[in-house]
Amino acid sequence: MERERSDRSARRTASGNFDPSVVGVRTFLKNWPIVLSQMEKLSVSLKRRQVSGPYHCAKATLELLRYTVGTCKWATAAQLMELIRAVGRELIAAKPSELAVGNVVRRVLFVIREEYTAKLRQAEDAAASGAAAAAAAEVSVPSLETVLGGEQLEADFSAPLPDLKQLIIEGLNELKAELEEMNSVICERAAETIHANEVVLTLGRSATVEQFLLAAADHYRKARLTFSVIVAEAAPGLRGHELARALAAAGIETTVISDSAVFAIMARVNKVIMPTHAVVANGGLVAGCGSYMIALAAKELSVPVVCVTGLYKLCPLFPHDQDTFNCLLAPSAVLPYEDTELAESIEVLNPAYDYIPPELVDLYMTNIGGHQPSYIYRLLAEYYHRDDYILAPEFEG
Amino acid sequence: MDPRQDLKQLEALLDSKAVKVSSPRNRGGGARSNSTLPGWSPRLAAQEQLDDQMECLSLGPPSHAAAGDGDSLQQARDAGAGGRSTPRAQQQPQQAATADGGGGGGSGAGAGGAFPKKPKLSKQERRELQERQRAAKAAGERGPPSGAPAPAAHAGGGAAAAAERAGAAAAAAAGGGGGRAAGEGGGGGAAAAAAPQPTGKTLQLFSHLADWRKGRQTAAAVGMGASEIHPSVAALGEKYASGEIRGANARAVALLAAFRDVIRDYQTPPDKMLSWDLDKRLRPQIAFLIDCRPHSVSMGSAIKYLRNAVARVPPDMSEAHAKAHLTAELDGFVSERVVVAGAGVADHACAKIRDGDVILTFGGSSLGRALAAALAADGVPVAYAPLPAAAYAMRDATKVLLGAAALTANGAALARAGTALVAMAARAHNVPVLLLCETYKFSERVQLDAVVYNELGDPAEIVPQEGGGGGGGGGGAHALNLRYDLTPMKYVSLVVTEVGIIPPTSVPVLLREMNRREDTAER
Repeated sequence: MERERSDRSARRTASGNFDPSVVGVRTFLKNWPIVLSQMEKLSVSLKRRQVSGPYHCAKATLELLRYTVGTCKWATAAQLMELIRAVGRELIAAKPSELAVGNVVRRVLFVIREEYTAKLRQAEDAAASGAAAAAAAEVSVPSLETVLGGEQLEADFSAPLPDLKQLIIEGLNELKAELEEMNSVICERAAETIHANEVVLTLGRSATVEQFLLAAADHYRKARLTFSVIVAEAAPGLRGHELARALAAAGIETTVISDSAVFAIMARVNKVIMPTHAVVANGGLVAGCGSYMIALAAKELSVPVVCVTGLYKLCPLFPHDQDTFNCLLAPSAVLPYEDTELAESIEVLNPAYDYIPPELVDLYMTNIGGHQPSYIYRLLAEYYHRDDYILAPEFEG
Repeated sequence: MDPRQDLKQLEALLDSKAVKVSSPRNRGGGARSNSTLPGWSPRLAAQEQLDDQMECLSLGPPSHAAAGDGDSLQQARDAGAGGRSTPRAQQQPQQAATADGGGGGGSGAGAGGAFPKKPKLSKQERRELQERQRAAKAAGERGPPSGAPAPAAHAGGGAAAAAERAGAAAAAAAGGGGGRAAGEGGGGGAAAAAAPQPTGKTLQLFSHLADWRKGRQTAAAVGMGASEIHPSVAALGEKYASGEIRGANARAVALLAAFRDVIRDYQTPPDKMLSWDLDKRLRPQIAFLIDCRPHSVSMGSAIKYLRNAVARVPPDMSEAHAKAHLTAELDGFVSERVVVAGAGVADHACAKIRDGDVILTFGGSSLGRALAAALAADGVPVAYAPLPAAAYAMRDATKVLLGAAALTANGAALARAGTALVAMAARAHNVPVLLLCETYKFSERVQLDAVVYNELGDPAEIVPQEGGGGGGGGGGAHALNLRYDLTPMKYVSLVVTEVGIIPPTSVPVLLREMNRREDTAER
């Protein structure tokens, strides 16, 4: 019966457009089985950690959303945004701790808004007479009122515009290109961040940090200068070993230390290059487990902490404590299941992430330059629309 | 702490794990080095008959060791040293094997039986055999898969011990000249393509710290025939170097137990005075132990106490009497400063633990797990987390209990690496830190950071040599295994000692009081 009704409603909406108050997104997407199966596939991959890490999550999400925009039927930008939100909610629900998924959804919404507004203005301009155009030009001169965001035109995105789909797809392609180039853009700042003969500490393995360090090494190699890198292994994953191997292969003097030696060695470290999982709204960050103590040790010994990150990791949500964006991983990495007797009698904690408050971070080195943590809120306004901050209240609120 | 028992235990342990102790002593003779300790097993086997001759073997100069069984043992040991066996030892392999088989059982006989084979093997053959054996043993030992967690990978567990030994083997092989360590597949069977050659090279910053291999080399070299060193001390040195005995208390107690044997076997030469001559005899033993592994503050206290006690022996005291007196003094130190003190510390700390408290502590690798198991067995609800998650777990903690290897005069605690991180995280979360430390671990030394004084461990404990990225040279990353870190005074709320609970600022006060008491006692 339930099924029948949903089928009927699907049929009803097949001719129409997505309206979340009428049907669920899965029911709606039955009309486009490929989109539905792609969404299901990505959800499952996220759940199983087959797709993990901010970059891969962001890329996969963007692919799916671009495909959704191009494939599904929608008449107005408002309808499209509803659809994108609904798909985004599904993905976020699959893996709430992968904050990059939500970030990309917000960026896509932002692009839709931008393209719509631009197109609308263009259409209005074309329709209006020369005098009206002059008046419009006058309006666009920034006044204190517009700067402070007083009475801005709040579009309702309901006007059907021709070519909007094409424009949005182009916008999303640009977004994709930006995402792919982000690391190389950040790497341009490597040499100004890391100086010759410095001792740099990092932990675990992050593609961004790896490329950053390699870029710095490349820069100094020409001048026959070097710097050394200390890598904390980041137990229990021990991905620091992989990073060390990669850096050493590129000729950087690399030393692996256990996580326990971080405090001892911090006294001789010039800079901490911090990989991150997400940058959060208050300027703090969510990073791999163990980062908090490294950041704290660095602060205690007045060693600058530089977080190297692309802005796809920028997340407009506020953390409350260590648990907000965290998840516990399988304990087997900490206590092998073979040790059954012990495993049964004790609780084993293997958290995936740490929350690092903004006061422990000195600098964010991003694809648009270096910023202090207190400036992060401003970047948010540039990257996302305020209305999109909360996408899935039940998972992020 | 009977040294014989210890050694037997060690042997049993090694036998059961089929782990070969690889050290430079086995250099070039890996094919033969069975699970017994080549240098010590024969002596051990024949120890019953040897007790009488022990002192001439141990404390006298080498020329004194020319008598009977002692001589053959010496040769057995030389033979055990592999490629360096002296011609005499090769001429008398039968004798060596007999001494070996006397009590050593199958393994000893096996070791003896292998002696004549040795010259037949070419270098190439030896190397192949060595690699095969290692690969076989590695395959047998390798328990957990490649994703073995850091705590397990650090030390203690079977796999970890294996990894450590494998690292040592690699080091030994490299030292022997062109030897190749067998690749030990990291679970996935990915053997190293090229032999990792651990350079032990570390950051320039740490070049002032002693090479981690030095201790093992020293411990191994004593088997080559330096008979200045008492067997108990030599065995202890081996255990210090291998990490079998670790922890401040265990090291100090084992030290005094070994010196009990030295005193027991000591005979004052004619025309010499015990208090002078014994001290002279003790010095090389102490130096040897320090070479095996830099002494801990706890050992320093024990050594200081021992030497003071020896110096205070009245010249007119009979030798037997003096020896009994010194033994009693040593036992007194162990019971008063270590055992009773430990209990006192526990008592004081207990008073600070209230119903409902959540205690966070740090044990490091195998120790932490053993502690978790012991507590769980006692019915205490236990949660176990790796060190990086300490900050995560800190939210639930109401108190942090930490131990220390030493407390410096400036109130800082020198302790197992990682302690400072836990204390720092505790302070960041406003959780009080109780540092538990017996007063004999208080040191006059001052230290500002952990780099000035530290100890390097085997890098293979961090990055297993085989298939791993670090540790080795050849373009690979280095691994640095720092054993200690320094917890600044500001992170410590209280220091719990057997004489009471003090703030860390009062450490120098307590030191002064203790010194004053010692001075009065001497007078």
